[in-house]
Amino acid sequence: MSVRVLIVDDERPARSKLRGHLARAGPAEVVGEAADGEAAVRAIEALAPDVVFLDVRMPGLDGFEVIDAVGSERMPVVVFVTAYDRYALDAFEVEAVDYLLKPYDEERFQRAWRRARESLDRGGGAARLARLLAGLPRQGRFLERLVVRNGERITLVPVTRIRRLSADGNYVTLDTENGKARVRDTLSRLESRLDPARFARIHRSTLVNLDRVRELTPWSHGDYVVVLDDGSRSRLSRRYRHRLLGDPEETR
Amino acid sequence: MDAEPRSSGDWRAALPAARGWWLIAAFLTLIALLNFGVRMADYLAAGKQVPWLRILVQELTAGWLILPLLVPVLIWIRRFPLQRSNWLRRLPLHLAGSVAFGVLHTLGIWSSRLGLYALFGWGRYEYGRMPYRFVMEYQKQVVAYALIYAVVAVLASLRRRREEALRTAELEHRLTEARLEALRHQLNPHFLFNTLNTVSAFVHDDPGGAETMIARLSDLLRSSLETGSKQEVTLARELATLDIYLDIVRTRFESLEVAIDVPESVRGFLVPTLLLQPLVENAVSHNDQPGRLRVSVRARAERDTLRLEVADDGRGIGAGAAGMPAVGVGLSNTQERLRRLYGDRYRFELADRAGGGLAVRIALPLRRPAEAATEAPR
Repeated sequence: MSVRVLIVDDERPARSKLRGHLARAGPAEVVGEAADGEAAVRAIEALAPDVVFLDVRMPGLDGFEVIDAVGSERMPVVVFVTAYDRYALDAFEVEAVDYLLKPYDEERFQRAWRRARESLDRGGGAARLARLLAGLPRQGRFLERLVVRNGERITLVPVTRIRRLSADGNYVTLDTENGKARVRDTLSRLESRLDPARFARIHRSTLVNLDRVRELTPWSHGDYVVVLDDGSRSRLSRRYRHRLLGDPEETR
Repeated sequence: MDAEPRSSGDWRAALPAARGWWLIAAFLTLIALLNFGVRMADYLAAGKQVPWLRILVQELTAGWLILPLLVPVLIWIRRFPLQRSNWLRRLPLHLAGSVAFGVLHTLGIWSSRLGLYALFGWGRYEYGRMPYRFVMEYQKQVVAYALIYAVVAVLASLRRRREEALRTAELEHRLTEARLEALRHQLNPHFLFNTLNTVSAFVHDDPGGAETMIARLSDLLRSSLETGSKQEVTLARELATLDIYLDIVRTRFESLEVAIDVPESVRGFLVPTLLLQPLVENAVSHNDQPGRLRVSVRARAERDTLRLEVADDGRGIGAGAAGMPAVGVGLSNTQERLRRLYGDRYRFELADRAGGGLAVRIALPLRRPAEAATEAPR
């Protein structure tokens, strides 16, 4: 039975190169091609391929954001394809994710293709993909924007525009300059992927953008209220007080 | 001689520093002592008794009195330098200047000696009939004035030459930086490895295409490795270099559209070397929109100005990911080079376009290669 493959790359010659290698390697059926991240998300959801060759750097959504938009647990087996990407390569190594470095030859392709089919036989690598995304900050690559899906529509929200993130069941609500948005994720998972120098937990269910904090107003019994630049207020819980007020001794 | 001051209002700039004053004082003392020697010898030759202290006082007062008078003289010279275009009109100003200098100097000599003679108890100083004294002293004073002018002019010309050398060195440095920037972009792993990947894509199905890509990539690398120090090239040449780069990226991205709108009539004008390529690279490499990217390069001549525009329909200045402006570091070097090459006779602006995207607009003095040789840009 041939493996159903989706090819994602913004350069046509790169896509036809992959097609050529797949035709020679077999057994593969290229079910589609996508030239950018959004098209890739649509193609993955519409075609449900077994394996996707995913370019990391593309205009619009990059390869990692494609995974975010689809959800790592719903992703097919992924073979990343990249010309160069320091953090990504380190992360690939750590999580033993399959990848191809451009330009590659027949032998390298064969190896990646073999490993992709093995991982398909083992039932995909969703857990590895989730760990890969969570591990990127360790390579110095924090989230710079969040992928927000509204049905078919995908928007990218730069983290600088976010004021506050609040846990909301299986979702996280973002308070942004342009209104509210929801992403399907947990607050702690997002927190681990955001730059801690920029985002701080102020409550069990709230994360704020420190650049957006206008003032801290004393409340009763040593509690504080965080006032953001739009005038909105959130409670600063004692447990997280030291993140904003410094010196943990004082908060005891 | 064109010692035109940068700002004639700043009279302090006409005067030497403290060390200069000491040097001048030493020089005047030396001249006074030489004159003293001449007159001593004259007395001795005539077999007369030598009033050496009086002669010394006379010569030193005459010499040292030039020091305070140098202040107005230097300011006057700096204010009205003789130039090829105006020397005939300005010469009378300096004649008047030398006369005023002479009159003041002679009066100074006379009054200071009156005082000193009284002080030393040598009786009343007799300077003879003043009109003749003025004429007698003026003959030396006009030579002194001319000498002062000559020294000022030589120093100014030396300083200008040094500044010119500095400017040239700075320009060469900037050009080297522009070449390095272009090279850095071409050796940028993303550009290089993706281009090589395209080559490898052609190897199986289109060996001719692979050969062409390798040749273009080599041309491009060669163009930035060239270490010529030519600051400016014709627009036609600059466009030819740009074309090599575009050949490569157009092969890689079929969604890239580049429109070159440069009439034949303006292709002979001069632009700074490596001006356009970094601007177009900036548009292409910072593109963050999926789908089609249109880049346009326009050039027009307007009276004495060459107007260039590189525009794209990408994401513009303000809307980069994480608020990062979509403008590369290369652009600041481009601006610095324009400033060094054209002084205040250029314009450089970045603007968000109404329909989205970024436009870089540059205005330069309109010049052809032959003119550049005769009229050095300032």
